[in-house]
Amino acid sequence: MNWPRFLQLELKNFLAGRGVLVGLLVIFLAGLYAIEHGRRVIAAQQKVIAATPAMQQAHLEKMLAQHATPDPLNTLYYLNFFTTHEPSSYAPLSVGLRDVNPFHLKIRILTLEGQLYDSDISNPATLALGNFDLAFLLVFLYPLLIIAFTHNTLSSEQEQGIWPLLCSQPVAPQKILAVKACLRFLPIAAIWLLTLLVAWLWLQLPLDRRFGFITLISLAYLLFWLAVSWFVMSFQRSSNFNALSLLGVWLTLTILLPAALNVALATFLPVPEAFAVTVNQREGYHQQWDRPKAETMQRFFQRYPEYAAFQAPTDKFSWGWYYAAQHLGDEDAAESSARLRAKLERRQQWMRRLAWIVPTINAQVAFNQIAQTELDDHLAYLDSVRLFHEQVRKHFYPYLLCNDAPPPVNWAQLPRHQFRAETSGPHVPVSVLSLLVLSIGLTLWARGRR
Amino acid sequence: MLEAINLTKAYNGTKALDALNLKIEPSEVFCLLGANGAGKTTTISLFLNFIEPTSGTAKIKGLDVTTQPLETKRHIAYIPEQVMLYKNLTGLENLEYFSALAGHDQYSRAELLGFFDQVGLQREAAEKRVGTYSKGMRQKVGIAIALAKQAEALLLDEPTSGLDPKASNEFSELLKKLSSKGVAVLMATHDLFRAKESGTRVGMMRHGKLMTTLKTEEIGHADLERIYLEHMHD
Repeated sequence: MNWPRFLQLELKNFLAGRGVLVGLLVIFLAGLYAIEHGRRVIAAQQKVIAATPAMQQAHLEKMLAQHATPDPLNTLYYLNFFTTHEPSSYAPLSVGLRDVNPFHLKIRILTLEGQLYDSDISNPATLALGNFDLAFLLVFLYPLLIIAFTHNTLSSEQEQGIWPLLCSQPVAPQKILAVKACLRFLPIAAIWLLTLLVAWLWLQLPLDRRFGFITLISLAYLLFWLAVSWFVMSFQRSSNFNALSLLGVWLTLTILLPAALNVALATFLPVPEAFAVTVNQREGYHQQWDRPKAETMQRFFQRYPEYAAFQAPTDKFSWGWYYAAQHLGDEDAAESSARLRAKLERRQQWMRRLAWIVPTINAQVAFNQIAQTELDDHLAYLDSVRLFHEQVRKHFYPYLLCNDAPPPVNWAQLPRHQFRAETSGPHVPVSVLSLLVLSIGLTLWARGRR
Repeated sequence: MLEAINLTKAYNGTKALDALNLKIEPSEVFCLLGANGAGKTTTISLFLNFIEPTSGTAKIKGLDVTTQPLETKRHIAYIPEQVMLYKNLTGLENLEYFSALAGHDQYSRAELLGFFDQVGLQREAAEKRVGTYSKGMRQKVGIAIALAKQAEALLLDEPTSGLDPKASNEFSELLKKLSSKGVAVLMATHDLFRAKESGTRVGMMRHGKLMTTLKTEEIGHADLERIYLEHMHD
């Protein structure tokens, strides 16, 4: 058979179909919008992050002016240290949880656990809907286009009565059908790749493994939907039946199942630890006011023996005792905090496991991992804030925990926080594999049905 | 060329085709006559392997159509009662499309247009989208597709239904020409006149059975109608 001419005419016939070119154009324009939307969200965050050093300096100067006399160390009580979670260069493609979780936190050297979970004020309606970024476009809207284009590959020929004439040709009908379905899929894949290319140029993404992973995972995800459509086609039912079943699958995979799994995770892996952390840190600190100062200091020195020479005055207030007491709040909350973190990690683990069988979650999580906008990335940021908090405390302990008059503080040289981890997600090749296995499985099942 | 051996098709115990034995040699034009539901279309569908026989065999060029469906389809062309085509393509492109599927990639544009001349379709029409065609025009494209396939056997299911008398007549001439080149034809039809004109043999079918076969040269128009009505009578 003359494949080139056949493919050419088949493509021409398909593209001339009603709404096909419009559909492709709309999804391409939606892609441009998604790129720009992601870019703006992340650019706004970057703007805040870029302004942070200047803001820190202005804040320091203001606090010193207000509180440095008579005791310069008084300033520390009011002084905020700014921390920021810099986005990876791929973050605009998938804003992920960067809108829900704060990307900047200011901390004082008081009990840390009370400061880690503050978040920005944002519109909950916006958060519920999520961002219209490329990941959203791929996960939610591209499947609809695949459904629209491929659901009637067979049924439209049957309904129009062309099928018998095709079947009288010396080519296996299955083969013609497969070619037709693929040919309807190709323009969609092409538009998606074009969109990725535009994103690459527009956002000036570094061309590394991540770009390859994004391409692979998205193509595997699109192929999965082609396989779903192919599977439904194998029932040999009407166009209406196919369209409705596929929309049902779409609704289940994009909305119902993720929502159900979210509820299931929250039910089976609840986090009462979150409340325990709050209570423990508060009680851990406040109890110290009712205890002999020596007892408080004793516990503190167990953790930081290098300052054991310090003798807290028993007859009056001292900053040394105050910050030691503050720290004990963290010590008391340490266990529940570790359990909270472990629980959140277990949730993440379960979600990743479930992602192997729920392609929509799989693609979204893979995108977030590549863009480093997942919960893991936020937890890593919080870890960096913990380290930084200790760094700041240890910077000031020698001034606060000394028996004689402390040396003057060099306010120009304070510890600075920085957090930006650019790595590629390790789970992505497995994600691609799981999508491909599901697609092949569906195709074979469809084949077995005939 | 075409051979049915005890060919039977039953649906839930009702026999749509009952032990058909038929042999159509090259150059023969065999017309199947009979009321609706007599089993004419079933016979053609069995030869095309669209449906599986309950028992018996349909052979094309000595090959069983169920075991070698692709090879047997190489030798036959099919014109359904309603030729449906791709609406977004022109008549010419539809012809090319099906020719490409049939494996004929050697046709030049002039040759393709030549097929349209043969079936009496204007060249201007060939360049128009099939969506604008009348039923008769689509039927003619269907015939052109069958011609371009250069098949050794034609399976026709009321191919002239919807054609005007002139076009019908042209089609009969075309069949005669093809038959003289050695093409075997199996045609289901209701048109007794056409069957007598272009057929070499006619078969009367009723309730899935082939009641009788006649050579058209041995009978007149009036005889054919009389015999037909006799067989259709309960």
